[in-house]
Amino acid sequence: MHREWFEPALAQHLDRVSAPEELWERVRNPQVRRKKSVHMSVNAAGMSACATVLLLAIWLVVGHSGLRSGDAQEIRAFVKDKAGIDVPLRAHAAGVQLTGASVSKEAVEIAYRVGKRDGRLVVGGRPTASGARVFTWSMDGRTYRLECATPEDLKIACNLCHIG
Amino acid sequence: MLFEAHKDRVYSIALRYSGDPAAAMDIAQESFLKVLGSIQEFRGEAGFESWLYRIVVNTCLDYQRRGRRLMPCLGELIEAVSAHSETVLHRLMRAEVEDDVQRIVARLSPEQRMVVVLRYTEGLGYEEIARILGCSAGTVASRLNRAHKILERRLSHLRGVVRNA
Repeated sequence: MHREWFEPALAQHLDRVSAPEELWERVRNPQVRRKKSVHMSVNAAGMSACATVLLLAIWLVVGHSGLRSGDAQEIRAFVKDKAGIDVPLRAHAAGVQLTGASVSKEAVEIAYRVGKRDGRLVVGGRPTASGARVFTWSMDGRTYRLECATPEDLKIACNLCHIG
Repeated sequence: MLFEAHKDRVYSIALRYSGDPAAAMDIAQESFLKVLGSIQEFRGEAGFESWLYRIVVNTCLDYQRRGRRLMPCLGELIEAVSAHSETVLHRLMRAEVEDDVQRIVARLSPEQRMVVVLRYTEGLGYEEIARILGCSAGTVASRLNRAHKILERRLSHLRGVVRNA
């Protein structure tokens, strides 16, 4: 029979290999799932990267700007610079810790924590009704909304700008 | 023991077909689970090996149908034929042809690829391959012939290397 010039190489380099020892464990215990392949990992990483870029692009187009900081003066300056709003944050607010701020076309958000619970002070945006965990007021033609995880936190969050 | 007797055969087909050790483990695991789960249905009308081959082949094809990306490891071929003399020229050549080989492999249809694996990994004849795949020996010959033509055309620049290897 005629043999192509590359057939010996195919036979030599596509020959049998030994099965890995862990194959038996996977047959014996079908619940053992494989680790994700390199291809899948690469694909997942690629998709993740694309999603990140897309979100970043949307974020930039929409006009968001953000700052992660616990410094009241830094956040105050950032908000004033980006939104033209001077929020009189106190340098040392008892019981409440600033964590950052973001500015968009619609609103300014100043994030904080009371203990391990997150809260935020929103300036602008859609007005909402006040409640046990949300306190809303208006000042200088702007709507302010203080949001907390608990009613107790609401009282403490007032320390962001006021002496308790 | 059934597993010990056939593990290398099953894993090798899965690996040569998929080109991915992780995919090969998946396919081999699934194949053995099918074999062990349906061993009582084996009636002995065909040889046990043919029955086993059919399960492995179908598992490979199912795996690909489910959308897993597979790439036969003919890259080893390039590595092997080029490794005998690691001159700068060979390195350049290997780098140049590696992409070509990957494209060739990607273009082989699953059916062609399976025929190549059964032929060169298992050393089976056309009739045996035909029984496993449920087609005629003529179909096997046709698929192998088409695969050969693709391989020959695309690997032509390796001709001297293979002959001298």
